[in-house]
Amino acid sequence: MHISRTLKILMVLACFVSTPLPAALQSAPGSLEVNVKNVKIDGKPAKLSRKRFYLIPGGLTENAALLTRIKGAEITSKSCYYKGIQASDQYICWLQAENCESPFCRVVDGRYLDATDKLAVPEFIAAYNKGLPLYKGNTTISRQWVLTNMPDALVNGYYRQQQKVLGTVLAGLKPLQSSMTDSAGIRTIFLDIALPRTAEKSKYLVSNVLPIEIGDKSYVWTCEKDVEAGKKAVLDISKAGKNCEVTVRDLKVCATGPCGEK
Amino acid sequence: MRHRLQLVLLIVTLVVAAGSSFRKASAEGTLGRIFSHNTKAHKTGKYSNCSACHSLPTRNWTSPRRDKLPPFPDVNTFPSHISCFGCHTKDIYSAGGAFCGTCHVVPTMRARAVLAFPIRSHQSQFTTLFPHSTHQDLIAEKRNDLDFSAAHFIPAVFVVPDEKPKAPIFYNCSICHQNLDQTPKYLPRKLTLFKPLSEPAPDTFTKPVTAEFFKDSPDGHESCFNCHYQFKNLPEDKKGCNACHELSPPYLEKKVIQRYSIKFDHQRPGHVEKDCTACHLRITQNKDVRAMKDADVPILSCKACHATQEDDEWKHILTTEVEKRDTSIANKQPAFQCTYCHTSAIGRYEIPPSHR
Repeated sequence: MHISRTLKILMVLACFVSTPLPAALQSAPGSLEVNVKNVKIDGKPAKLSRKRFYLIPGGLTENAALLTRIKGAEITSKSCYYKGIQASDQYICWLQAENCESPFCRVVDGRYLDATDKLAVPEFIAAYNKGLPLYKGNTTISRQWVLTNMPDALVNGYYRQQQKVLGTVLAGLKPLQSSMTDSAGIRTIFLDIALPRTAEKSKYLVSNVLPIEIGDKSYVWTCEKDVEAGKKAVLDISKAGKNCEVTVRDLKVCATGPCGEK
Repeated sequence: MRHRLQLVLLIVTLVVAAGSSFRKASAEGTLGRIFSHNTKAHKTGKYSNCSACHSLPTRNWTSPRRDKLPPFPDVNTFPSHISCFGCHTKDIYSAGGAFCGTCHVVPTMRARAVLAFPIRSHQSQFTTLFPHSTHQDLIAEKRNDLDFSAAHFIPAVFVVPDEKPKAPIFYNCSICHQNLDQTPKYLPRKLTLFKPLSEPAPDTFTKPVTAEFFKDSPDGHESCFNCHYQFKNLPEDKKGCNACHELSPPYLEKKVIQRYSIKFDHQRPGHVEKDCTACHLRITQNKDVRAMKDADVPILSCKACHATQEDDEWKHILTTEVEKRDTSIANKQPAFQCTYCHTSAIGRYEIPPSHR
């Protein structure tokens, strides 16, 4: 009889716990604008355009382990990745000319396929020639679809490496959201941040996690900010104080030959 | 007279029998039916692999295309006879070859010409998978100057006009989303959570709605194949049609663009020079295009420019219109209708809390 009553109480409690709170009792979502336009490196403005930032629950203290992993992450610079897979100097120069991380960045136009042009890139020429018989000699398609005939490591390898580093640093931690800064390098905004239950405000961590290459250094911004229910908080990552930690590391940069463009 | 009656009865019997036979065949899913990718036999065993029937490219890829694009290697027609004949030989020889009408213009065994592929009037049987987030990670940091040129022309990367352009052309949102060249059918979205506060009023426009108010979305393989032809540059487990296509219950694709703010002009100065992600705030985190209910522009992005403390009227138009609405209600006058972004279909409704 006693056991039965205890069971009943437990069942009632279980129902209570599993029932979601009525909307009126839940906090309204907040939002967080992350401002990057005032960031300076060595006194000069650093344009952080189209950089992905992650939103993680908790502050710097709660995420100390993440911070340790960020500081200890093994990173390979773009130039060293491409050097490591024996990409030609011309290919690396083509990427560097417009600060591209991969060939998905811009159109491979005719200048880079013309063997007589000083800008010619051997990898693109090889892929173009491979495409010609597949597309019945159609030169336009061979040129425009050049990425479909290139070795995987040259096209996707750097992105995959970055994703691997991201996975290692996050080590199973699941960010609530991620969002990219705009191309003008002004801001990104996290919307609909659901605060825990009835909390009126809660602390969140914002970090780019993956180091951003600037010159021969890499940078990770890790900042905490309170977000209030129903309000927009603004975090200016240029104002690094006790709420913001910037991890700066020297980056091995692999030299290429002289680049013809830019 | 008796013979005539017998003859009529005989004809009626024959017609009924033929009809019954046709219905039976139809019930088995072989005659007079639209081909379904969802039929068990069409999606299991060797047919679970799309290439069991479809070839990429089809042999007719060099022929002129229905969409008038320059020909490119594509799936441009139905699978060959061999894909159907293995299981449907009997059906072909019954009911005068009505089965042939699944793909052919004329439903007889003598049919030669095939219907235009794909059949646009049929319901779609697949949804599209597309992770904006991954593509946003990979495209360029920079934008094309042409994206916001005075000519209002965004080049389709698929058709790069000059083999040796003077400036680099970056891959960005305009690979897939370009200005329309014809004004599409458009409608205001329906508001279900709010009440109208007044009767519809005649709409006024400072600029008539034109094609360039709108952007299109891919409707074929052309922009995808730039990077993914023959399933290249895809994750290991997605090297097939399933990378982008997933079977779904049949549905008719909407050909009408629905908007809350019909007066929004993508090409207007002040809008055109902005990065798409400045307003489409969630797009860089969208992993599945199917999760998007609409173009998803939160009011927060409008407020950044239209709810400021600056003097220009349009810089604070959002707050001005909200104030006018509140004043009209406080003075027990007909509710002010918001007109800067909205037509009366939306502007006469209650103001959502997000706008305040």
